[in-house]
Amino acid sequence: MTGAARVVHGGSRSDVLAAMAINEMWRLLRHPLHLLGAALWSLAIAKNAWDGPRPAFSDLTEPMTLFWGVPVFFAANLVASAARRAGAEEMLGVLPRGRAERTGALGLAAFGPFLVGVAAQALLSFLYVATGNQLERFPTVAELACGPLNLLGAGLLGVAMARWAPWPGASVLSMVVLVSFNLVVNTTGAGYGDGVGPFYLLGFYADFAVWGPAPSLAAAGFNPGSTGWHAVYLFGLCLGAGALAILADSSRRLLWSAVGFVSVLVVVLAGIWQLP
Amino acid sequence: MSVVVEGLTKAYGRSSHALNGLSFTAGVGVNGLLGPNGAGKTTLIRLLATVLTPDGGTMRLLGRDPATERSAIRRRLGYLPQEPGYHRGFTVFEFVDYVAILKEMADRRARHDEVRRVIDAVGLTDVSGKKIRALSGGMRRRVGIAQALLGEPELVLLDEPTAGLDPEERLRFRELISRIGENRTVILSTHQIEDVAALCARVVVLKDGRSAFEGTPEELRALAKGHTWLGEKKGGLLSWRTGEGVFRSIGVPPEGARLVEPTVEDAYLLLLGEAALVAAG
Repeated sequence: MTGAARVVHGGSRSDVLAAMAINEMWRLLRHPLHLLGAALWSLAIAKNAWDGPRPAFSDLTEPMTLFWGVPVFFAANLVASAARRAGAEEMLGVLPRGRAERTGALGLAAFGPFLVGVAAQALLSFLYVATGNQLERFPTVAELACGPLNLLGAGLLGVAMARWAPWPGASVLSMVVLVSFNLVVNTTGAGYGDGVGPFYLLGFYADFAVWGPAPSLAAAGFNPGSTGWHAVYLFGLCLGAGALAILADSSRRLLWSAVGFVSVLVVVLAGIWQLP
Repeated sequence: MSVVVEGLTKAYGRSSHALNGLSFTAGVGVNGLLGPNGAGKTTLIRLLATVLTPDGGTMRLLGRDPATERSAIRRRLGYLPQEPGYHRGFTVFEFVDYVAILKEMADRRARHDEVRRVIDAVGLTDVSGKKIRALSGGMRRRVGIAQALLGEPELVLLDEPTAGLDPEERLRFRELISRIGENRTVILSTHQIEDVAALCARVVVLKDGRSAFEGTPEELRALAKGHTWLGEKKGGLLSWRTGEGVFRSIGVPPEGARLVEPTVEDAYLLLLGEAALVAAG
């Protein structure tokens, strides 16, 4: 066996998947849209986070979903669909690691923005401490987790859309649907201040500062619901998006359908239990 | 023999048979696949690449049955399709490295050495950091050959690798393909008869989904011996005016015709017969 052939046959399945995932993660992280998302989030933070205790709290928990999450969705969608759009699927399709493994690697790559998001929150927390920026209160772990979870979910959903809806405009349409859903659930039954309703936490863009010690909302009897179960709800959505993405190409349909079923259970139960 | 094909059939829909009982073999060296449009060359290449599965017949690739050992074959295969696509944002190195990972080269250092080796083999070292979209058509084809050479495959399938290239690039490709074929089986699908004549140890001519000829280019050329002549007027099956102002004809020569040494192209056109007339418009 030649040296080159030894190289080919040398990698275990997990080693190869890890190498694929790292490669795809790097592609996603350096994608211009991901970089734009991180920049937009940074600008939003820089503009608001030192404007008082309420904005300081809000900016540590909320803006990641909109400013960073939406670009991550599109970046992941473009990275996942790059081979198809380039007409490279036939050339890549005969390689030992085929499309199913590539989709799996892309799903793992979505943890890249998640980890960067966690690091960004940690850095921001450090900056608050270093600059003496007082928060309304320090967010709970669940509240802090929601931003990065939304980044993860955005990445996984972007990959899923690339596999299931590979048509021009499908990703834009799906984002319009998601934003519309968020607006509807945020405001349905709104009878309190700040335009929030009892189904607020069914959305992904939850400003937890809304139900801080705001006298008007408390006086109106607004009960926000459980931020802990909201984090579990978001995790369930991520699991579902990941299962959906992999189901498109995997031969293990039963396994990934089962994972999808579990995710639906998590979403439904946590979705109900998070509500007031 | 690296490739043994017997009675291969492949149809698209009910009425279109791309391959109609094709049989041939191919061994180490450059093996040419010639044929007019619609003869089944690309379909055959795609079947050999395990992109498609046949409707009938048998194939043995590198001693294995693709129906049951597809992964094992794919690990020893290199494939350049007729229209390769490349991710927009990739540089040459990045794309070949990406393919190398998909060819299960997990160790980064060894993989990068292999990527540099194949990029050097196709003469693209100086542009390995350039975006593929910024390269010429010929250079992009060489990127495609580079990825096909990763891991030293034993079987390399090239579908029309020189189509659309200028003469200088085609000459470079001939040299490259000739080197590739020194110790592995290369199957080269092409319209370019001169490439076949210059490169191939064996050639298969496809016609209507079957093998119309299998042998060396010299044996193919010999088919037209005594059937090629020059004259003042058109004649035979096919005729065209040469640069010297006389007509070169192939077919059944008339009495007293000035017979000339045939070329591989003459024999190919003679073999295709009616199909050649249609192709000649």
